[in-house]
Amino acid sequence: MKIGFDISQTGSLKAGCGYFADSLIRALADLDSENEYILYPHFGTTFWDPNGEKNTIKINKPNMERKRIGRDIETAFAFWENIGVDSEERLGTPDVIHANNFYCPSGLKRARVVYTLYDLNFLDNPDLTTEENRSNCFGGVFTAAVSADFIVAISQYSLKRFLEIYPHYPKERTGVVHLGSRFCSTDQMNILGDTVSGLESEKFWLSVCTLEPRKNLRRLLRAFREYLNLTADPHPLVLAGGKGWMEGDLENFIGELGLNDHVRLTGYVSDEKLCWLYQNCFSFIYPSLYEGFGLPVLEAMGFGAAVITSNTTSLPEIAGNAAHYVDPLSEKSMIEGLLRIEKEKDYRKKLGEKAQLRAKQFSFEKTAYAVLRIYRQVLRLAKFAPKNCRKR
Amino acid sequence: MALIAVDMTPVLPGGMNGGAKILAIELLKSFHETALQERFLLLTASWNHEDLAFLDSSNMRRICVLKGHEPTPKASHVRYPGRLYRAMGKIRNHLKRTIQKRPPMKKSLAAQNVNLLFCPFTAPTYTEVDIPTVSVIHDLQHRELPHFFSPHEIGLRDNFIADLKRKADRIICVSEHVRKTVLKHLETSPAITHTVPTSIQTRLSRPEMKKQTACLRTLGIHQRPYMFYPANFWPHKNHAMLLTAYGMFLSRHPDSPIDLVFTGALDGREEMIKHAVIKMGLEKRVHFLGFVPHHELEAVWYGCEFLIFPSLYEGFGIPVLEAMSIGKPVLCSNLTALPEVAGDAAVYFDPRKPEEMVYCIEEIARNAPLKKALVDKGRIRANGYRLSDMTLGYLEIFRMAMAGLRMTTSKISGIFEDGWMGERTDIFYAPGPPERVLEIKLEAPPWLPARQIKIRLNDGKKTLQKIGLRRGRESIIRQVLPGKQGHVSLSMNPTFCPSDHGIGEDFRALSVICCGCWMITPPKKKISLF
Repeated sequence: MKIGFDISQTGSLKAGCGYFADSLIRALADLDSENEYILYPHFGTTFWDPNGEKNTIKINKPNMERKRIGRDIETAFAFWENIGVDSEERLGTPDVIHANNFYCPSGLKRARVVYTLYDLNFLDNPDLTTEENRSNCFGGVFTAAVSADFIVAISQYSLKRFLEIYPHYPKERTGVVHLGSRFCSTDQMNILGDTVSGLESEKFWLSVCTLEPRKNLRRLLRAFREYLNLTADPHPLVLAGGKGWMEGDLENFIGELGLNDHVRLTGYVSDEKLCWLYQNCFSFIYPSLYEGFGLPVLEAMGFGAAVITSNTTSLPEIAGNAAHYVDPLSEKSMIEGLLRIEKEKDYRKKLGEKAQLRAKQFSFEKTAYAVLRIYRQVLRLAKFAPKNCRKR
Repeated sequence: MALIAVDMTPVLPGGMNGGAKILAIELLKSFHETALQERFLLLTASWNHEDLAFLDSSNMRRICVLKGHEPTPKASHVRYPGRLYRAMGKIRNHLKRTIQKRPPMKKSLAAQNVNLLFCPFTAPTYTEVDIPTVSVIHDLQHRELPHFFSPHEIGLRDNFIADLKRKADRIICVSEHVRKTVLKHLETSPAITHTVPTSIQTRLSRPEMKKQTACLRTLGIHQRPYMFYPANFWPHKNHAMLLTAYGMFLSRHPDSPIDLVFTGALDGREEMIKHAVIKMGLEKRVHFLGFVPHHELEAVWYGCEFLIFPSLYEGFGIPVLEAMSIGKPVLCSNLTALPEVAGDAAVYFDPRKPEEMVYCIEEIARNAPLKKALVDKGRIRANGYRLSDMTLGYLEIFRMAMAGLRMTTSKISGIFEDGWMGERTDIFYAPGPPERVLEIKLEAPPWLPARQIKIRLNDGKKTLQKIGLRRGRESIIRQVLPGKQGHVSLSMNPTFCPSDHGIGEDFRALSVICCGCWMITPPKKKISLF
């Protein structure tokens, strides 16, 4: 079996899609020496990393080959826009193509398209993203709904939403694979990590996310402001993550709340620093409005952090009984959560233990096995054609 | 009695121009009937000259000013293998350049005693120095939703609206929404930026029952009730989201008889939507009628249950008033100009949320009093938009433009926003003190394909200056101008197309860069024109 695999977002400054593709292909490389893989550093007509060729993941294994499509953005986009008879040859004649960046190729006659479905936030909360991103995400998911041969969702929640919106799509062509933490292997866990200057172990709250409206940071910050008034021994809040969109003036907002001394924006942090932050935080807080999975929650759980997170979307599916849940629309609920974790030492300790136990259930090795099964399954299925759909 | 030239050269066959063409034609028909003291000269192109013959009348005649190929829309749906695709790109570029290089008219508008130039398709292509220009702006979509446009298209559109700002004496916006975006993005003076709502919904009249039934039968949509979406298959029209919502609706209400009917120019972009309809198992329920002639359109309109209008961007939204005027309920998007036009007479949804759309369709299907209320309110709303008011509004603005003929500021046109010049740049200068100097600073980058660009400064009668600008050099042209108003032009030769040389997707025909253009009046007043 020959598998074409989209690694377009695995370059520097990875976010959700990039981490998924990166971790999955590493795990596949570890367990599969039999099948051939063709990795595409550029993929689709909506995303372009000018340094993609240089910075995307490289795996030194005989069955992993990289294939460059197009010299530059124009030729690359033109290729994907005009998929025709000779395109599959240029792609290396893969049996399966796995799309990981929201774009979905259409018009492939031979290769089966497996599409990673992250979330449908762009439909449920269009105002939480940019219009361009909304439009690209919708275009990709719509194309997938009418032409992908298999949909791999990263949570039951995302798949359920997808099937509500596209009831025509055959259920037997869908599956769920959860993510794993990339920090789960023991050698990584044993790294002490880089300390972050000015922070004391067990003396700070942590949140890790790209700074964008979906992460609900303004409400968290307002709640945090209130919490400071109610506690005698306040810990600072560390927000670790790169700049996303529509939160350009978050720093001003922090200043207006008078939180300059209590909130620290680290920007995009290295994995070493991130390890240290997870390991040493007092508690991890993630009151996101909407997730397809919620990887930072799982990562924090893996380090045994007590997690406060939202009771909505995919988050309960991931954190199970091992987190303190809050209503992400209620500042009161968040303040209560912060105070309870701070005051009840046993509760916090127990959450941490449960979290570490639960996190063990997730791994990219498992994910990779499931994905391999899906590749084999999709090859047994015919290409997705109208006759597979329900007629109305 | 004034002679008004109307630039109709952008008219394409069928429905490819969208609402702009409908507005232009309805306006001209109305001018013919009501503007008896004016005469109209329609500037046409060889590909539309004959199609516009029906407008000939006592106060309206045509003159073909542009000969050549009809501009072809980018055929993005056609799938070519890579190499062929690139070759096709070169041919397209060539075509585009031919289109952009318009030969000057044989006889100037001034020589034909034209008093005003009216540009219903925005671009003030045929502006002349002594003739006031009025342009219509239908939308600034490329500024509001730039991701639907290629960088090349954005460049072109930006260039022509910048050109418009320099040349138009009056700008007519089709809605308050458009006017606001024009004031925001173009920063034109509010005093010359007007709103005249597009009030042409009365063009629909009820066909005879028998004819209508026959027509719907021919179109294959007579068996079931249907909702109607008239729109070209442009990305902002959001067809995919409507299909998403319709698929959800039918799965929740499998027994619902309501079908979905699309009209709109079929230029290939609908292929993706047709493919989706089949994959969604909806091919028996979704009907693609293509561009339909007027009498069929009337039958489709009168036959429908309601209008569904999920567009992400409308400068106005003519179909909304059309539906209201014939007593059909309107379910529409709450974005851009639509709430302004539909007022309280529509049910609104966020066109980015399929579930809201489904909810509206469910409401209209089960809630008869709502349906009746929408119809009643809709008729009242549509009656507020009168064709006669619109016509008078346009004529009044024409008069204002003609009355304010005297040019008070000097203008330059033919320079792209980024400073690049094409093969010709015009400078129209206002009256001023004698002995003033026009100064233009030009630069030829060292990587130009041609070693030298020949530049000629001309005042319309004779050549004033000739220079050769070598690549890698700069040059300043100085020209003493007389006190009265006038016009000079710069012509540059040769030009090159960056995309032919592998420099991005830039299809413009370029010559040299203008670093600045000033009018220097003694003793030391310096006004920058660019």
